[in-house]
Amino acid sequence: MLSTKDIKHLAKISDLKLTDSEVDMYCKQLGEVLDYIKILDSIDTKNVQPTFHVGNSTNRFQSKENYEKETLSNELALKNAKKKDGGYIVGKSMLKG
Amino acid sequence: MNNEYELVLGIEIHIQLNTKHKMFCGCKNDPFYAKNPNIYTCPVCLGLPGGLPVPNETAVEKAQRFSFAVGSNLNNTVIFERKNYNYPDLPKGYQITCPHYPIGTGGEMKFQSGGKELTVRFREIHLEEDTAKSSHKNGEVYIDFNKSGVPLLEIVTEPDFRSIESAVDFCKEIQLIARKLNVSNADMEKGNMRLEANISMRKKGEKDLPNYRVELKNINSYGFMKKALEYEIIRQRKALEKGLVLEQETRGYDEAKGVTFTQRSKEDAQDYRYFPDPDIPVLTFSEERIKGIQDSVGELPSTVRKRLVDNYNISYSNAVILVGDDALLKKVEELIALGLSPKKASNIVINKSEYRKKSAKEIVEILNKEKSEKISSVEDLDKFIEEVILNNEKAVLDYKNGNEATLQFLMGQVMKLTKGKAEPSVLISLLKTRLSS
Amino acid sequence: MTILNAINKIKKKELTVTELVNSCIKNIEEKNADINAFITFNKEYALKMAKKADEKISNAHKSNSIDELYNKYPLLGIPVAHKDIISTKDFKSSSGSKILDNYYPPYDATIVRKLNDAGAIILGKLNCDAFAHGASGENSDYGPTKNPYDLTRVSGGSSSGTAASVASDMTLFSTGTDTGGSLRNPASFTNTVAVKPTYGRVSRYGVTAMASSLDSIGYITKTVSDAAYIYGLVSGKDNNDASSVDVAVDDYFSYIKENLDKKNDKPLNGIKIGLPKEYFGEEIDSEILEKTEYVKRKLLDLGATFIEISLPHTNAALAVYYVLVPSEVMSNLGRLDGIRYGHERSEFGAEAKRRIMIGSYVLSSGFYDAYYLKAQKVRTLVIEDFKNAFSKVDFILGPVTPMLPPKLGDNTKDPLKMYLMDVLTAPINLSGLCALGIPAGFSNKTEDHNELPIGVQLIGNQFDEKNLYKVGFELERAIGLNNGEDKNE
Repeated sequence: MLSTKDIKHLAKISDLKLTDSEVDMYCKQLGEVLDYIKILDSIDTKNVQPTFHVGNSTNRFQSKENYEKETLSNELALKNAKKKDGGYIVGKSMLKG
Repeated sequence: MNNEYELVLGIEIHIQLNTKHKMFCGCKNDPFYAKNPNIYTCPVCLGLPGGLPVPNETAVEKAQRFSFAVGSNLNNTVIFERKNYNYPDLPKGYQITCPHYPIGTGGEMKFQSGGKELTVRFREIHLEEDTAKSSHKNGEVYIDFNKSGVPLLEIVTEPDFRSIESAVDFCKEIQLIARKLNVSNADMEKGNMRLEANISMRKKGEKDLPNYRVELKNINSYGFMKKALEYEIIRQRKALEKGLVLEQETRGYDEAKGVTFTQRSKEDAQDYRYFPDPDIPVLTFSEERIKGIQDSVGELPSTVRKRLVDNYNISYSNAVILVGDDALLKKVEELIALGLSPKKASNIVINKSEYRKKSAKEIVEILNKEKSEKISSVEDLDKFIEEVILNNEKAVLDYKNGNEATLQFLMGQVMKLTKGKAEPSVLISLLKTRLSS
Repeated sequence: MTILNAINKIKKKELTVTELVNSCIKNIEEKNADINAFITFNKEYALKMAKKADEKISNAHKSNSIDELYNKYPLLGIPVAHKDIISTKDFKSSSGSKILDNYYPPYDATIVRKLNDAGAIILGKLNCDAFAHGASGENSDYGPTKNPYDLTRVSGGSSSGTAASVASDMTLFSTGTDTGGSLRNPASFTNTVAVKPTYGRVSRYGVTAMASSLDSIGYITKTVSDAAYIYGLVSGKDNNDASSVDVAVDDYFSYIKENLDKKNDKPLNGIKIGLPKEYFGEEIDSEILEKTEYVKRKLLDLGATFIEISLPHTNAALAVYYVLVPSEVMSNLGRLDGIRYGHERSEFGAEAKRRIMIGSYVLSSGFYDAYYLKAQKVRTLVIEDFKNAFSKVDFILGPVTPMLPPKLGDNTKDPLKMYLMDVLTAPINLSGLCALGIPAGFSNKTEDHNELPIGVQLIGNQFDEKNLYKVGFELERAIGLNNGEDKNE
């Protein structure tokens, strides 16, 4: 079971701002999903290796032909920025005080 | 430093690799010299939806060569993971790094400090990507993503340092090795090297690590490091003496005020929620490939220094200078090939500023010319000796009365008259003879 | 109109591209207000491209080189639309979310580049569950896409617009993604064919990542023949995608090309097909089970044999899916901070927020081993289930969803209920296998609803698409739904 404190903590580390009613709603909904996931506890995975990739590739590296092919002009790089100035992308400062 | 407590210091060094392209994309790796901001970006390093990381093989090789060179053990498996947190200079909302299956694990390095040979152990060496460059202006942050995605090598030591000086000497050696191996310029002023320090104090004699650790981040000069660490040591010692409990935290250094201050406490600590990056297949290296990398490393600075001291019979401090400068070392070796003794060759190259711009061949020519111009015949020297004896009665008397030191003075006077051309070994014996008559 | 028919007619001068594009435009203009398949549609752009294509074609006709032209541009003049999570330089790409409602990518996804190079004409961008989070289309910030067969019901998801646009003849094919069933689900609800490639077969570069280790980029067509025709054009290793696999691209269309005009007796002789007993439980709608039985009979007629198999970790697979997906989603959506593009994170919809927080939870220090690592281990067991199965059979047949297309609003109040829609499709993504979603017929007409489409899925081993298309093609023409040969039994 999750508490509202847990939800607030999760929201904080996920960089999400929630209203109080959202906190309550998600508390219930997430709790149900986590309950459902409990089915995994009953499965014996002793000596089983995890699968992190299904592709079976290994050692994939940048290819020489691709160097600088996808590089964007300054104009394109800044195209969607809410605020820009002198070629820079501008955001709100996260420094405290 | 007070005798009751000792410093427990670990260092983390970040160096930007000097590859042509970034760590996970094909953009140019040249943030320091870029003419404008945001001209070396792409969907990957700009963190656009749909961008995908593809590792730079040269960066991996440089990282492996470096790790082997400093004495860390190369891993056969390297797994890139995502370190998740939110900050304006981190375009994907996560940094790709390899904390659990790094490039090199463990190992140790010996280095000279304060005339002694010290050993420091590595925890790990891993490869990751740099963040963008941000500058603050009017409550806003100006971001340049040219630096985002640049390959970064992170060298993490165990807390084996017991003095600030030894940590500085270690960092300088790392810089030297990085440059020698052509892996990085490791220049703090250009932003391609930064340091972090993990500091705690414990009572002398205690074996266990203290249960807290203060992190000092973004150290970008040795001056900064010394001042900040000195302050921290005093602060921590005073607190411990008072019986206070010190917390795990990150502190910043205020240069103007000369104090450290809390930046982030344990409660604020991020939960990075690491997991293997699904976009990047695991890197596996066969024993053969690892051996190939080891073989490609060449001589380490420490090996060259030892060789110079042992074979050339030059002082350790001269060896340090020569190993720190490829051009100087090369010139010394050329001079030796042309017939000079190693000791004389290194002395000339290091100490004689008048020969700085001359090639080895030119230097040898000059020396030969000087030699041929030396006044070494008895009749020639006698003229000068006579004049000096005549004009320095008191000194001559002093010498005859047993003051050996005046011999040097009188030699100097002859040298002056001959404009330095008197052959020293001939002069000294002739002068002694004349003075005793 | 199918792609192959269109090309045939164009080659015979019975159709121009402009006519073709205009007929799509007409359907969009008449039906999109009701169906809501398109988020962005650019008529002028499409007609401009159509004119260019017609010029090329007319020149080729004059110089008798029309076949060469179509060898060079296999999809010349064929209208396509792209799921909104796929980056297109010339069209806004909002990923179905209002947080990106002003995002214009500065680049094209690899699949878009390849289809452009082949001559396809982009009509616009298709509605979908925001960030592909969903199985019905109801999580879109642009309103749900309605099912063309019943406007009170969902089109399926997350590639809702992808399916509805093809089903209502707004386009000849549409691209989409399948991470847990997001192409097979809407295809089965709309009487269309879904292509879910082997993981890594089609590049993910330029597609807003949902769950990076599971996302398969694919498409929906009217017929299996069309699907096979396109497949080779979008497949292949991509330098921009390290997870794209370095396996040679086959000729996926050759069997169909050779056999289009031939009727073979027992063409599937020797082919063994598995029926997983866990896919035929009582929680599956009985009409869906009936239709799957019907498909089985058709395959038997074609010469295939059936073996009952077991995929014992099927139920657990869904739990694995809902640990891994939120983890990767949390991380993949970390890049949306409103600075370089898009709006602030408070604009995320509820489903996105849920997944992000679940992801943070299962990955947080202290829980990683119990949840994330455990899930990846069970994933290995799911993969082994399929490995065992494929040692006995060549393909696996099963239903796609446990229920018929729900009414709008049926499942939106309960996130968990929505998740359960993926139970038969998610295991395939966890294992990186390939699959085709094939229309099987229609349900009965009832007081509640008209006849509703029912599809099945044919699952193949990794990189066995060439044979998968052979089976799918023969099955499709035996059923005769979309080329008028057979009537449902």
